[in-house]
Amino acid sequence: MKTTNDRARRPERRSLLRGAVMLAVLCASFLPARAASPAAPLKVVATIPDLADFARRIGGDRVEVKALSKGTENLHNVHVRPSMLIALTRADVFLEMGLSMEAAWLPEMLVRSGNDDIQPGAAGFQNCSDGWEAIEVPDDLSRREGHLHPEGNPHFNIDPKGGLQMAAKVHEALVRVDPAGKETYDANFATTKDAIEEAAERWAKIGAKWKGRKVCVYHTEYNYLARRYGMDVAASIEPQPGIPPTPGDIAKVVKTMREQEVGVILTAAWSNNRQVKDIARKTGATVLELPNQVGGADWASDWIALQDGIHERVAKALGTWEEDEGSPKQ
Amino acid sequence: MQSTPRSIPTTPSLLSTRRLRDAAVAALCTAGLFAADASAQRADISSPGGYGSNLGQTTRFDNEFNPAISFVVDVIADWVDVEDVEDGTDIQLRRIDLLIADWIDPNAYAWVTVAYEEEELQLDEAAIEYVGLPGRSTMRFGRFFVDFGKQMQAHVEELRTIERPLVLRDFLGEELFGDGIQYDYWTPAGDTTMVRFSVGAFGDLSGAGHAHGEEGEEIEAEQLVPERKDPGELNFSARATALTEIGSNGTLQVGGSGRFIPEFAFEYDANDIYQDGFSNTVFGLDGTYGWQDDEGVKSFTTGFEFLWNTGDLEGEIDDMGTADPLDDTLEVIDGTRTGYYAFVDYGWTQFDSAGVQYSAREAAHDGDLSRSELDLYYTRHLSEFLRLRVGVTFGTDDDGPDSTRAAVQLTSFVGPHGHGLNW
Ligand SMILES: [Zn+2]
Repeated sequence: MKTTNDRARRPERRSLLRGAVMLAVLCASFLPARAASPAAPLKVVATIPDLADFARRIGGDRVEVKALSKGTENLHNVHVRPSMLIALTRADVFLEMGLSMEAAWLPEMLVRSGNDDIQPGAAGFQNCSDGWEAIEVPDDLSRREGHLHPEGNPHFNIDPKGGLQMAAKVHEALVRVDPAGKETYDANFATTKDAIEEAAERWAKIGAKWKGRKVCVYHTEYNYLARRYGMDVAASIEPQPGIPPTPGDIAKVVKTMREQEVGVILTAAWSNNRQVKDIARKTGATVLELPNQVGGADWASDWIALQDGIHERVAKALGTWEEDEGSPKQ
Repeated sequence: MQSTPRSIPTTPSLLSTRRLRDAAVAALCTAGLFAADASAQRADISSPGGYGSNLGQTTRFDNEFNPAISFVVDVIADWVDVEDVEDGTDIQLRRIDLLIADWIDPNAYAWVTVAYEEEELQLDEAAIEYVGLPGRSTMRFGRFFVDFGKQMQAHVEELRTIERPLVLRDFLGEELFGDGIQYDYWTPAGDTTMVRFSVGAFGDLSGAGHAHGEEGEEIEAEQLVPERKDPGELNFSARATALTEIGSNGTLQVGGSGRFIPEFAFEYDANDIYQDGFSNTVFGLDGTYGWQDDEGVKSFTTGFEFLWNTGDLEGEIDDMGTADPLDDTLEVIDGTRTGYYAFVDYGWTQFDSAGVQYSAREAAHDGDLSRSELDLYYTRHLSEFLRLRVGVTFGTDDDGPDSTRAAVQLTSFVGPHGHGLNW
């Protein structure tokens, strides 16, 4: 009853059509992705607005800059959108913070961009944490110790000294990809460096009064800032970076804060602030919600403004603020 | 664009090591290019096709180039009530997925997924993705999940519901993978819109879940795709999709997919029945809208997928009212059946979300009879790698008993784990 061998052959027209479609697709994909014009500005894509700010300052008219993150969201968990992939596919220079900050959302986008100029190892790829000495590097890599900061704390954009690191790395990348613009980049980098150093003097004066003061953080994004001025981060509400606290963890934090008389909790908008408020109510501490990137608040329009704003708000929360300490611009 | 937990082997915890490793692999391959013998057959006693012996490659007993290994454990405790048939509770290790992945060279990576389900091991995926083509094209070879709609690319434990939507299970299979080759391409259309399509050719896309019919129905003949076939009789998949941004917080995606089986046979062993010359196509149309607030805390997603199952649908065996299998005859049902699923999902923190999903489809053997499932579910991420889900499913069936199921699902993702693009 088997009829396997006498099966009638079907017309091949459909498979020919499929072949033609595949061929057309292949041809289309070999077209150049971007028409290069020497007059066109260098397309720079930065993962966070802080890096984009330095790219604009140093690149000037020679660059066109886009930041992937808005500045308001959790840096470890940025919502991926079509415009990001499109920006990456057209980019000449790509700037990332590194230290696994963007590890959860970036790597596949980078591969899918199909842009060879910005893959790791290519001239257009810049890891802006290269050469930065990270704090809180885990001795032992285990999920038990948390997982969001496997290479140490990546939030060095909140360090008052982080600006110079970012600016230097952005400058390095621009000169490497566009040597013809070196003169411009060198000059703009020098101006940027001066601006950062001038601002750092006023921040140092504000921060000098914080030595030994105790704070509690939700995530560890403010630890560089605290360490820079000798503050004591007495408690982290997240038991490990990225791990939401259990009721037991919260009880421990409350106990520590009461025992050590911690009066301020630093937190970000995207953190679990219902729990933060609950802890504040139990301990009488003040909650200070801070941005952790440029663009995270309306006053944080660029990196220097972000630092000015953070210094002013932390000083006010700790009761050390004096009216003449702020930026002369404000 | 949502993210699903599987795809390119990126791992936060091993990223720096991986980068160093990538560089090392790149260096080795470049050296190999210039040092390799022109002919695969060599005069000396080294393995045929091998590279030279002094390229700095590590030995076979070195761990330096071990791939990333991870696994998923999916446990379900449930209570089921199938009207007038059975009820009761159970706890079950539903599934373990073992994933091994690594870059092969700067332009290609490979992954293998072995699934353990119902006391059986199955090779779900074993594929190589080549990303070295110019532009935004990639090629995939090996065994992999078919690119159909928004869900068929993912393993069941990665979905928003405990089970795959009814219409996908019945029209395409619990899982649909095939041995084949797939070409992928995407292109921007402006600054905020992108278009992507893929075409795949496979040996067999008849699907693991397709061969056996639903419980309590007539006996079905098994569907067989011939092993050797004309090129035009290969099984094909195709998907085209466009994604665009709506405002600064919304993303809209629309897509169309097809799964084509141009030639298959029905076989019924008991009576040695074998008839060929059948074909089947499933088309799908999908739409998804996603919204997320500026902080990335609150999110809202809604979507649908409408499917047409057309061609030869099912081979039923008529026993002619006798117990003797030798007089049984095969009746093949052809026509078009439709089905769909739609869902709404809201996340109010980064860790909590809840939703409702409805799926319905017409029965293959009678288009006037339909079956549906209504799912209510709540998902809590205890951390990024440990997920708790509670779900209730209400099933109705014109052709069988109604059912209710309440389930608790605990899923853990152990080891390196990356988020890919789901487009
Ligand atoms: Zn962090």
